[in-house]
Amino acid sequence: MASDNPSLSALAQPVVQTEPALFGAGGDSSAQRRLSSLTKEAWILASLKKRRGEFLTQHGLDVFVGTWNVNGRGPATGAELQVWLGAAGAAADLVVLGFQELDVRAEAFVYNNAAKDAEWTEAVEASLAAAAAGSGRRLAKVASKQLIGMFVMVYAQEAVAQRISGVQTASIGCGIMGMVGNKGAVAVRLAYMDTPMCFVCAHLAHDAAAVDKRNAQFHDLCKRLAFAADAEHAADPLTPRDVAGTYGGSGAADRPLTVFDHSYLVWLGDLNYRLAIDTGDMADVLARGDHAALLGLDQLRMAQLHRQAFAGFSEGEIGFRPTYKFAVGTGDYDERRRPAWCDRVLWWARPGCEDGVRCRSYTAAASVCMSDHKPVRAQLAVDAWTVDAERRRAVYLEVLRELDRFENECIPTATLEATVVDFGEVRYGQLERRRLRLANSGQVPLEYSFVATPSRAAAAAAWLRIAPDGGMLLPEQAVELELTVLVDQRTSAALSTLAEDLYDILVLHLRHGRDYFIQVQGAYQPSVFGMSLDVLVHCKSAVRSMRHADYEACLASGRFSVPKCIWSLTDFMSRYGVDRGFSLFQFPGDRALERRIRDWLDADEPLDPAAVLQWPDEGGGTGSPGPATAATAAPAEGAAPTSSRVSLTDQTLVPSTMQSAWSVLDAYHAPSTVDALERLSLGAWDSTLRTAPLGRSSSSDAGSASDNSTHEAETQPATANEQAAGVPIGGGSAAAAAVEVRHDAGVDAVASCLVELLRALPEPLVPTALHGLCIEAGGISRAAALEALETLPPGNLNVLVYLLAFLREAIERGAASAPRVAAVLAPALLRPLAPADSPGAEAFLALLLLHQ
Amino acid sequence: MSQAGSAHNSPADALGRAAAESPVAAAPAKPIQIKMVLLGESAVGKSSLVLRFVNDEFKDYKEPTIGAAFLTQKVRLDDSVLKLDIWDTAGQERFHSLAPMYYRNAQAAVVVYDITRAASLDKAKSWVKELQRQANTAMVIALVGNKLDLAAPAPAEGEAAAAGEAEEEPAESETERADSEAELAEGEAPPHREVQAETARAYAEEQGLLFLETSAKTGEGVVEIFTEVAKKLDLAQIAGARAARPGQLNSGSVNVGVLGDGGFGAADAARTNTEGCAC
Repeated sequence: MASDNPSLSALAQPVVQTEPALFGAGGDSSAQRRLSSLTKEAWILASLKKRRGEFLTQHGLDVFVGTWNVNGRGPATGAELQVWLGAAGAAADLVVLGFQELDVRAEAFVYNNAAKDAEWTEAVEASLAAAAAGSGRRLAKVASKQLIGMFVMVYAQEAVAQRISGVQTASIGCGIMGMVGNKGAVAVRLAYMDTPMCFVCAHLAHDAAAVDKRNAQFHDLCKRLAFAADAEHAADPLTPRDVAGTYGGSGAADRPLTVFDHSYLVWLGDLNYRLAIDTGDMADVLARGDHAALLGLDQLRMAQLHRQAFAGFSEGEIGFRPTYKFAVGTGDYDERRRPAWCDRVLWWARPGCEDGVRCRSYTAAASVCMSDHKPVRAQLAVDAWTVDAERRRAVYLEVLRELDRFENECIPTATLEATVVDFGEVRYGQLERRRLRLANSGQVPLEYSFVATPSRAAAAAAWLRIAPDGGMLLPEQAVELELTVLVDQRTSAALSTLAEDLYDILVLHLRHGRDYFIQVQGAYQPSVFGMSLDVLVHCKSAVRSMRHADYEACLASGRFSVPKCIWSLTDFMSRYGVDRGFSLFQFPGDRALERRIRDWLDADEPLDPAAVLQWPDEGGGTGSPGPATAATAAPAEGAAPTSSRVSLTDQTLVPSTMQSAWSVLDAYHAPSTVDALERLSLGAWDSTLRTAPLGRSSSSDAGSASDNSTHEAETQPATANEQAAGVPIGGGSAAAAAVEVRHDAGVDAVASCLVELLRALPEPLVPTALHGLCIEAGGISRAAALEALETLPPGNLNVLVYLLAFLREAIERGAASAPRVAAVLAPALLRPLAPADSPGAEAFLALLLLHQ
Repeated sequence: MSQAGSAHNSPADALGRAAAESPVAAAPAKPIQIKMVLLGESAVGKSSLVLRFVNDEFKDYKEPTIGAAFLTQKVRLDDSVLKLDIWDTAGQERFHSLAPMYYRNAQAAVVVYDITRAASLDKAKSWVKELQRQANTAMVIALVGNKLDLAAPAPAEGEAAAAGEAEEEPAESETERADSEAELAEGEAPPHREVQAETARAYAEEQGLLFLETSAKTGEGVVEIFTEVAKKLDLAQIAGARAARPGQLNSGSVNVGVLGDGGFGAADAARTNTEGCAC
């Protein structure tokens, strides 16, 4: 059954059992869709059935079904027919009689001649007429079909016959060679009012052991019995014909009908199923009339149970003795054969028409002894309908709407706290977070994700991160989406020059559901950090006050000078660091102070020495244990400069891998956050300083190539912050050759800002294209380094020469060592710097820092 | 005896076809899934039209759509059922750049304007132009003039022109005016028809668009939009295209693909990189 009409069987039975292919596909979406479609189809049918009273008018139809294997004998006498058909046959609205072995002569196989069926027709008609005599009813022939020994005839009361249409017959042989009609079926289909039904009279393979063959023949017949399409009647009175095949399930209008494309399918005949095992003394059991015990061994029942054949078919209760095999002319079983219920009447009803057939009686005419089979008869009460097509269409549409409503309710829905997220003022390198609550307000699990838009391939602008950026929420669950804005040197230039706004529209997509647009905005405070050198050298006023057009004017001006921000920093270091004997580039700066300094630079205001120098040295107060805690607070004017012992002999302070701030952020959301937080809190340079091992002779193991998106993230937790400033470079592993170093937290911060500013240049001060040349020169001589220097563009050269002059003076006056300066600045000036190139780059700088 | 049925023995080819019908082939066809997108200026009543069509309801005040709402509804034609996956997009200009996500891969578009605001027709025309340039060439486009319930007797010709000029399209407001129930500022004239049906129809005919006037408030013309669009779709072509690309069936909806199963998001399909779906 499953192989014959999956959609129907799927509806009649649990989908799981009849559609194993769906599950074999293992999560294949098309299988799931098909399953879903079948489920919906079943739901629609069930809903239509529930409401069928609104558009169907029910009419009872009494159907008399008889089947008889006549063993090539006959025709039967009037008396014998009378016993079989009786008054019930004559009184029925519809009479369906099936015969097997009507004609077993050899010529019947060859010529398929109709000699016998004419005789039988005459006899049956005479019998029925005789039984009806006096009742005023007359039976009219509706159809008959003969194939060799199989013969089916359908009669109807005249009044009923007038309401029958769409009559067709079919026959299929499936005996010898699978084709010959010694076995097979003949069938009649018709529509009574608006209810199509099909009657199949079959004769299946004999032999007790041939049960598999019988099962196969059943499926073969189901597949091959076919009728032309019925333009007038849908298989299913519940479904509007014009939508059948879309949601009705009965197939396209022009597709040949199968036996299942009917409201009812009645299957009668000598199905030849036997009893499965020899029970030994069957006579006793038969004598006791213990049919239940024997029926448990019935091959047909077992085939149904195991869904090998006739699955989904019903049968009346068998209250009669096995109908085969009798000694002809007697009521005695042929002792050479095991008795069996070969002759059966079963029916199948379409989903939606279940319960439309009731069996009033199911008996065998035991006293008819003409054949080795007894004739069997069933009286079926069948529900037939007339359809109000208009009404049905309306109900169908309402059901579809109901399904739509249901489906729409199953579309995930969410509550989103806001559709605008405003970050207010956003500064360079300063990380801002906002939270946005997303709750599943629907009835189904919700999967959400941020998706790309036509204007960008990523789910968010480069300066924005969303965490989590996707996930699933069960109904009533909620999640706090964290939106983080961080403008670094990758994104600052466009924002600072007002080429772009700090504005983005995120698309939050609910899988299988709607999209939300979330506007993210902020007021970015333009900064010299991340600005290109071309702009910086031309900037005449504060970047905060410039308009977009001003930048273009800058570029057009053709002037070269040292950017004011660089001058401000070096001038400060010169006056308050070098002049006062404090060392440079030895300690990372305080983050908060660096922020202040950046603000002054961006506003084009002078660095306020009082504020800078009096900045409390956080690191000194809480400092980490060990020799690194020597720094003391508030190195204001007059206060004793902080000192600590630090090695100045290390030639190669190795830059550790520069962490991209974003990569740190991403790591922040990873399960292990402690380390990530630590790294997040510390600028790359700071961590370079803090973690650089002393006394290394080689930098080749310093880690992976630095990432030019590096910059500091600003939201360090307090503990990390405390470590960030004032901790001397080298930590506790100070080498033997340590000397006393004086430092000032304010000067440290200014120095940090300078390094950061250089590192934030979109194009490094030494253009990437020239790195190879410079690194190579570093391995040769000062003359080669100077030669390489001259290849720089004039603007860059100008700035670099200025820087070198400042640094050289600082070194000369003991505020820094050349190797130290080279180690700190090389990664900022020649970005990105591969670890293998570090020695060359540092040597290049060191050579330039040498005094003649 | 009336010989009602002669033996209509199935012709050999019918038998052959029947026999050839594998269980799979005999499975019921799925409803054809159509991705439809609604476009138009903000506050012309796009969401209200969809709500009227899908839920048969109307809300006087409706929050503007920030994003793209998704609903599904079946439409029955003479011989088939279509499942419309309807994407109701935000009308605000600032979301304009996201519209291609929704009209891309759509088989149908409904471009809505407000008959009481002449400028909204201009916007509709620019949408039509964009669709004709960028969307699926076989797309069925309908031009819909909404708020027919506000079509008070039209003012005289000159008056209408003057009114149109005076009421230059107001700046995009944060809250969309609800369909047909625009809040009237003090002293402002009640809304009246600014776009004559003939004008819009002539434009629609010239561009090969379906044209209808509707009222989401009264329901007039609403179902017709969707059925008329559905009728004009080349279903054979759509079904054929789907069959040819079984991998993209899902995306039929958005299918973000995202559509997906028999019934989910067409947007999903459009975003094949992010999802495999749709209902």
